[in-house]
Amino acid sequence: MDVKKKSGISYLLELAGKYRLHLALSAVFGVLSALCSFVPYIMVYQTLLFLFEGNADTGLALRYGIIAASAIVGKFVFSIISGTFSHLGAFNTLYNVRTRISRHIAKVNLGFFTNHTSGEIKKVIIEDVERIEKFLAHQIPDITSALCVPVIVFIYLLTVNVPMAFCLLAPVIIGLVIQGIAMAVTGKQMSAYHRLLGKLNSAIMQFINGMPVMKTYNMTAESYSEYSDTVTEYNTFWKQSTRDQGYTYGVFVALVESGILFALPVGGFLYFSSSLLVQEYLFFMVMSMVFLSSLLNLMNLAMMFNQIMSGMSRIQTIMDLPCTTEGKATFEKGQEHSVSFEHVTFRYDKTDVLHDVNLTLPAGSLTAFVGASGAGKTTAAQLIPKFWEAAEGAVKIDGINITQIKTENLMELVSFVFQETFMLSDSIYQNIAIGDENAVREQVEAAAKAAQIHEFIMSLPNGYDTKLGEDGVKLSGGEKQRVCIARAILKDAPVIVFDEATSYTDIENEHKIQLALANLLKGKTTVMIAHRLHTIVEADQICVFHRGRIEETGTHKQLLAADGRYSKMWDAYTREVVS
Amino acid sequence: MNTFMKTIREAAGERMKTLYMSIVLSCVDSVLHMAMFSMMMITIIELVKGVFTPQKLTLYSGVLIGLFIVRAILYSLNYTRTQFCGADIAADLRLSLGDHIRSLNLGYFNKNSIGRLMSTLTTDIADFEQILTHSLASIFKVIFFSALALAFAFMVSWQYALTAGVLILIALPLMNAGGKMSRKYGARQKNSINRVISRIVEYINGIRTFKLYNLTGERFRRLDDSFVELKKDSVRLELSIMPFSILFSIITSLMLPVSLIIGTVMLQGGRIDTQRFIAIIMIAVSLSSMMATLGSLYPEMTYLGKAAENILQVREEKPLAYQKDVSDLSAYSVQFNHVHFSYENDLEILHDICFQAKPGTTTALVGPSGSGKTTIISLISRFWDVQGGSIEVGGTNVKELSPDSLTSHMAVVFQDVYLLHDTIANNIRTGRPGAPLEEVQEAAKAAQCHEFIMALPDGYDTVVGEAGSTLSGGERQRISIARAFIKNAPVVLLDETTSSLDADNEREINKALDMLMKDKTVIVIAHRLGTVVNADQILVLEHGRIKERGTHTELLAQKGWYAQMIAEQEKAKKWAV
Repeated sequence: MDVKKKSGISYLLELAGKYRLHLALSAVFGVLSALCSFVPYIMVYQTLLFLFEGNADTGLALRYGIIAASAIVGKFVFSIISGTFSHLGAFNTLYNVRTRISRHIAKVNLGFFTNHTSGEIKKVIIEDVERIEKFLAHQIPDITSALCVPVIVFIYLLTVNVPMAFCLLAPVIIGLVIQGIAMAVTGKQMSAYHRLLGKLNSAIMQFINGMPVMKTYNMTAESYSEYSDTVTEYNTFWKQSTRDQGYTYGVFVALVESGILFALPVGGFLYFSSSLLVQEYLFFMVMSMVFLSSLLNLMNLAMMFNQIMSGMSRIQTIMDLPCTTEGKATFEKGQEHSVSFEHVTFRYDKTDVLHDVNLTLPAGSLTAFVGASGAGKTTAAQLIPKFWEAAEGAVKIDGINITQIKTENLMELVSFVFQETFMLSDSIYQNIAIGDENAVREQVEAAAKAAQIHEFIMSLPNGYDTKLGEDGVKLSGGEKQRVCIARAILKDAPVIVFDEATSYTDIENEHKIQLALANLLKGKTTVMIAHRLHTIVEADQICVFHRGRIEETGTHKQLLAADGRYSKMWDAYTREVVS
Repeated sequence: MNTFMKTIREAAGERMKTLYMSIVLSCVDSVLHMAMFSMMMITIIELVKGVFTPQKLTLYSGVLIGLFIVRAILYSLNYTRTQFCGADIAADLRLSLGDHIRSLNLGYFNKNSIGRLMSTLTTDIADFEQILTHSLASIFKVIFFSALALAFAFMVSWQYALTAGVLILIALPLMNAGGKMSRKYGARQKNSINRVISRIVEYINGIRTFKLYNLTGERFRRLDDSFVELKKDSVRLELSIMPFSILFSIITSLMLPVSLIIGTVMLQGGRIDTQRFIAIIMIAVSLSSMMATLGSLYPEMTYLGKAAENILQVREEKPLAYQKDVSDLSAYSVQFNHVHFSYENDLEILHDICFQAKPGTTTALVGPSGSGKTTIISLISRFWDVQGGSIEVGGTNVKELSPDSLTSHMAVVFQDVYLLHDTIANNIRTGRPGAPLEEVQEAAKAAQCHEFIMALPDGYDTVVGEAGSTLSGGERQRISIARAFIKNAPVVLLDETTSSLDADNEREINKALDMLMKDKTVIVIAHRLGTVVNADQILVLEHGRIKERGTHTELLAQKGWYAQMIAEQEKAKKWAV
């Protein structure tokens, strides 16, 4: 992916990849189709000539009719071919782009997801990508024919009569000049308009999202005024800009629909001054009806183009985010591993979150991270599966920097059980089987048993096939946590990070979770981010985090004896639990 | 077309008159267009006959320029008028729909409907306005012009006019059939899009899990499959409409060659003269171009219909009925009498719930998720109305009270906190608009958020990001508690979820909640043991029924579900890794 930076259309075409051929073919057939559309008018001209000359051979005139009919059929056959190619090409490209984005966002560091809501990312993958379809499937054949056809026809017109050819172009040129002047006057308003539109949308969003709050707090007209004010402001602006542009626009449309306004007088003048043959005069009058409409397409395109490009730049911004560093080293399965932090410093938005953290987790040991919120314990733990990359220093597994390890292999080595559980809207079985794609049913059930969730699952009407999520069964927090533990047990990774929940939404489950946890942690190198100090009194080492540094390290007894921060925390904690 | 116009009339309301005017003006414009066209036709005929003179050229040119000037003025005026009218319609709709939405029952605001309402108030109204101002007049113009041209054709040659008429009659149903096809496959594609959206959101929300289990990109089959489905459905949609639209275009475009052929044959048979032949050709040219415009306008019209339908749908949602606008309650008890309740899907969620919360007492709801705790809380503030039994606040049935006056007696702390994009002070003030800063600060102190607010760069004037994104979950929760504090309502409805907050925050929030609950009639979904133990009554819910009730000591003595839960809790406390 480290090709030189491209932008705009070339970037889009690069994304299209092997479907570029489809798009090229679609363009070719699009041009053919557009050329065919002029044939009937040429036949009209031929018929007029025929009538003018009073030629008696009506067979010839009949032929004109038949040629025109065939050209029309030809036109639509070509446009079917063009449309089929362009849509196949376009939708396959959309698919490719969506897959590439979804693959890419999994490789960037987690900051991306803190800075962007799922709504924003969804908008890029759905809407911005969808806009490409408009461009690829419709604009490419349209643009090529909108560009090629007027040019070809205009060249042909030039060969017939130069002044008349320009005369046909006149309405568009005048129209564009008028529009150009109008745009120059109101150009700045476009950005004002977009700003206002954004404001309107956000006012509407607040109005609806905040409705439950507003209603339960009886917010009155005053509090809704932002909504109504914005609606009024938008309305006023819209009217003002209509007032500014409406007249030039009206003249422009009238001009474009009045090709004959120029062709008839000018042609007549030339005709009477003997520099235009009568049949040419007829021809230009007929063409004045159709030539302009082919040019109009071109002007609509410019508007569409801007929209697509802003979407493209958002896609490109995501695709240009650097991936986390990855190496080639791999570890065999089924071994124990030690983990070490060496002079690790981590920054987030230029502020240091971790300073010079040094720590060794011997293979098979249990280390607890404790400390106040924001002390850095979760961040430190998240460095192990490379969710973030250290700014300085290194996190190592068996002495090898994790940036040297193949990401896929690193993920096989590390399990992370989060405080916020995540469930697929799928069956319970699938939710556990994520842990190991190749697992057979017995293994999944064994993991569920070890995680103390098997009995609960069997009590559900459809057992393991019970669907979770919006249209399925809702699990309690503790049940979800045990499903996550089952998942991790199935994965059987040698290094485990466990982020203990501060409070369980269903108090009755807590002990079961603890039993499940005991099964998970057996023989693993473990980091436990602990909030309840009593659970870690027997840990091999406890690291006390304070403001991004490890302030104390030792066993529970050692730290109590040291009478430092930990012992104060312990005092506060035991007092709280007792009361 | 009739039902379609009706929908527009309903949505546009009184301003329909302006729109009618604009349609009429468009038709006048098309008459003028036709006149310009006739000038050309006359010129051609005279050229062929050899009677075209410079005098006539001057005359015709003059007429053309005159026609053009009238058209330009007419068009500009009409365009401006219609745009104004469209903008007003949109503004009116946004305001009236906004008011209407306010009056809907709060239960209406769930995740699905919020998305739908958003898109109705933004895109649907914008679409409605744009297409209304641009396409409605155009479509009438096209129809009118075509009818004019056809009438003209009848005068010139009934044979051709009949043929052209038949071609149009054959073509029009095709357009309709294409529309049906596009609705059918469009609905399918829409489903695929929705599936992709939910999978993407799932993917993003679970990205850490998927990374850990090497299930990213194509390996996350569920997402990839939904992409593939969407691709197939989109291609199917486009390709299914194509035959109809193309066939429509072929048939209508054939009007031109047919005119050449019929004209030649009739000319040969001596049934028409050269002039009539030329006239037929010219009519054919204009008719076929009008039909092409109609073909491209049709999809826009269906779009408009869809948008109008969505708007009407929101309008048809019924607000909650009530009898009293103002309610002066003297006592603040909450009582459930044999309450049965089900959401819209008819599955009964609550069965025969009876309890009484006396003024100034705390009632704790406990039980597994899905047992009906949240539903009970939302019924008290009349988010929904019950189907069986009744709920009384201060002895008055809540159905008799307007939802606004009912909630004025209540402070509600939601599970998901919503903060306005405004200053922190104003966010707290939502509890009592116009409250002086001292009271805001007092409430903030009571809710344990004064300190962190003061630590912010602009203190109480700090603007919180959209949906409160710039504050941590715990901080947002405490601001919402401050909001409840300043309201100082006699009834407090509380959902004590403190999960995903760390221990520090939890302690602060516990303090804040204890303060809030003092001396109020409290109904609380309890997650803290302390709340449960100190509650005046505990209701244990399971599957929508009250399974056990009593105080902590009473329930322990019963040795039921509650006692077992407490025992488990004790066991958990002694456990260590």
